[in-house]
Amino acid sequence: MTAVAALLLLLPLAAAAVNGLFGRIFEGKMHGKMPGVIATAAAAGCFVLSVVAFGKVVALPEEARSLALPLYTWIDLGGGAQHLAIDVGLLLDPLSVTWALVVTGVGSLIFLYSIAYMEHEEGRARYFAYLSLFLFSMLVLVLGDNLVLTFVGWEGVGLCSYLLIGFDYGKSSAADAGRKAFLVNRIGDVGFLIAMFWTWSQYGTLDHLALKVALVGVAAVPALLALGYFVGATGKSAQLPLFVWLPDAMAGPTPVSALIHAATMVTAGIYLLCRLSPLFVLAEGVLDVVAWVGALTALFSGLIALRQRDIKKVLAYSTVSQLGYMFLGCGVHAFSSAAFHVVTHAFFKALLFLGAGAVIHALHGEQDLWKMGGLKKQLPKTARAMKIGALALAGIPPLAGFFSKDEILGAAFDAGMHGHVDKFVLWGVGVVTAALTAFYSARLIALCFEGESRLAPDVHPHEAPAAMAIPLQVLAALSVVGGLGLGIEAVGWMPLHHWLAPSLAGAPEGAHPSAFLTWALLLLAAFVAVLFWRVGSAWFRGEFEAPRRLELQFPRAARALAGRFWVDEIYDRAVVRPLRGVAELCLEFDVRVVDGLYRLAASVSALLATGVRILQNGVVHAYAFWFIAGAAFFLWLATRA
Amino acid sequence: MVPQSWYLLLSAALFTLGVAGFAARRNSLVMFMSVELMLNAANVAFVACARAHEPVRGTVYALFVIAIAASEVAVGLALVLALFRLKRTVNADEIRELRA
Repeated sequence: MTAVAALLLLLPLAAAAVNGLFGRIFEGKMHGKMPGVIATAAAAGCFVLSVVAFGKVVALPEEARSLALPLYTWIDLGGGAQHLAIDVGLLLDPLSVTWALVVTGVGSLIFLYSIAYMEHEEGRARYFAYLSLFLFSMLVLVLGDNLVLTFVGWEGVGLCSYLLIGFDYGKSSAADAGRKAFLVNRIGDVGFLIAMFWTWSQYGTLDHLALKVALVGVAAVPALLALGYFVGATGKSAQLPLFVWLPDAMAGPTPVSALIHAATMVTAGIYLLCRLSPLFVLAEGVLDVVAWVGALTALFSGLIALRQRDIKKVLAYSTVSQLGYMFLGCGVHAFSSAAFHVVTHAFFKALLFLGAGAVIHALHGEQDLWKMGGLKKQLPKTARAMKIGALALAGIPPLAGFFSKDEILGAAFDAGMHGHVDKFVLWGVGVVTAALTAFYSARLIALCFEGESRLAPDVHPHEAPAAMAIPLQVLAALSVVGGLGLGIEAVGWMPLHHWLAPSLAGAPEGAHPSAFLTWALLLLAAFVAVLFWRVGSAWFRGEFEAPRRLELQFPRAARALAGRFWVDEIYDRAVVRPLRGVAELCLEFDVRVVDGLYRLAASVSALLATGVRILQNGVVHAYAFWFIAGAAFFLWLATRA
Repeated sequence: MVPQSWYLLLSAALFTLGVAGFAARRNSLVMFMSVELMLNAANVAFVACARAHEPVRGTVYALFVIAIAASEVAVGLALVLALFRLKRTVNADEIRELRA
């Protein structure tokens, strides 16, 4: 089993090494598909190995479903009471295996898609090297059996995200976006690091399983400790107030947006919350913060998504919003529902991004929704797949998103019934966001595929090649059955929850809502989703009369939405410019004082050296003369004695 | 048998020739050849002494010198070639970029 798990990590690493070191050789020959084929084969191999790992874990008895596989000792600082020893080891349990399956499964499809998408791009080998390195880092993050290893993966995916956002490094916007993502994530990482040090000093272990044992019987975890991890999670998973990097991250190639910035990496924050759920439930009040941050992020970015023109920006803000739902789920103790939403979201959001990629590909790089329209005639397959994805995102029954989103909302309502009245407000925010989600999903589909064509006259769209179409079809199928297959709360069919239960902290005991209430909430969610889908669809299909009227009526609100509430501008004034001012002061000091001292020292020695400098005249023969003269002098000295 | 001093005289003569050539000529290729001459002067002295005193060590030194001279020629000629491509001349007087 250790071999299988180790191979799971080594396959993508090897693919990254091969493409990174020898990519240039492949790029020329074989029509340039070689790097993609290597990387995709490695990713598919990883998926097979993940399935094998899943089989192993599922075969274990339910209460003992975790396999710790130590590989070697990484750091050993020797004896004493506080004996710090960190192993490199893998932990296979329901939580990690679920994530590994999603990452490698959806990942393989996106790798396959990338072969065709990147076919004519420069630097394909570099692209696939980064992508494989990302897969490796993500698997380290998920499968690592201690927090340090998780952190290594955490930083690894951050690095790959930075590299891939800035893939087109010649464009300054892409390079800037990469830097922004990296810097914003660093803020979150500081929280993660501090919390990790604190965990070590408080509980004496960083091992996931040992920590879980150490927490048994602990009355309360310091709130700031848990908040540290949460700050890390808000950075990686783009929550308020650190979400600003994710929309900019769309500067990367579209498959990267699908894989890293929608389906996998950005869910690392939720993974961390789930992995540390035994710790979070013991921290007083922290989960309330999680829930509120999640709900507000969901609402905030859902609002911004309403008026974005760029197809990828709509999806980016939608991703932030859906991640907010997952945080809300974690915040109301519904960790398994959050994980459920991670899985379904990976299906339909990857599908939407890949579909958007197919559209952008067909339109030769056009991303503006106002320059699309009527594309379902030219791109019928892509249109059908994307519509399924959008319906799933909108939460239209019986597609995947409906069940997972409804579960999170149900859990919030549930918490409200247990006496935390503020949770009803969270539920309300969630329902409003669900309405927004349905609306902007419908708007996206209507603007892109329905109505009159607004294409530039010289653009002739063509349907995507097979390597791009197949992942779309598979993901569309998963978006349809992913919810039904994994859990329907109202009828008690919850395989994913039972499977994940041993890894997660349980929900607090208490009365669950009656079957009637569950069904009522389910129907309400379905009604809201269908209603707002229809409105959005109708408004943006034809003449845009209703939205225009609304815009004229509330010009300030319209401007605020289109301007994304000026969050970037606020950060610019409040953080970036003051920092720049400080940096400029430091520069002045450096140039005038520090460099001045060195320049002084340099000019003094130059002054002292003027006499000797004449000898250094650049004439070889002069040097030779002094050399021979010197040798003769010493020879004379030696023979004189 | 030729006395050892003759060999050493030959060696000294060759070495002086090399030094004089290196100091007097302006063509860097010829200067280069002069350096080789000096190295070979040393070789003659080594082998002569080896024959007179200790057969192994002196000969091995000479072999080392030959090997080093060979690699030095490879590098040195390449440098002269590169210099010629850059400057269109091998005259050492015209190349004085390194003056302080």
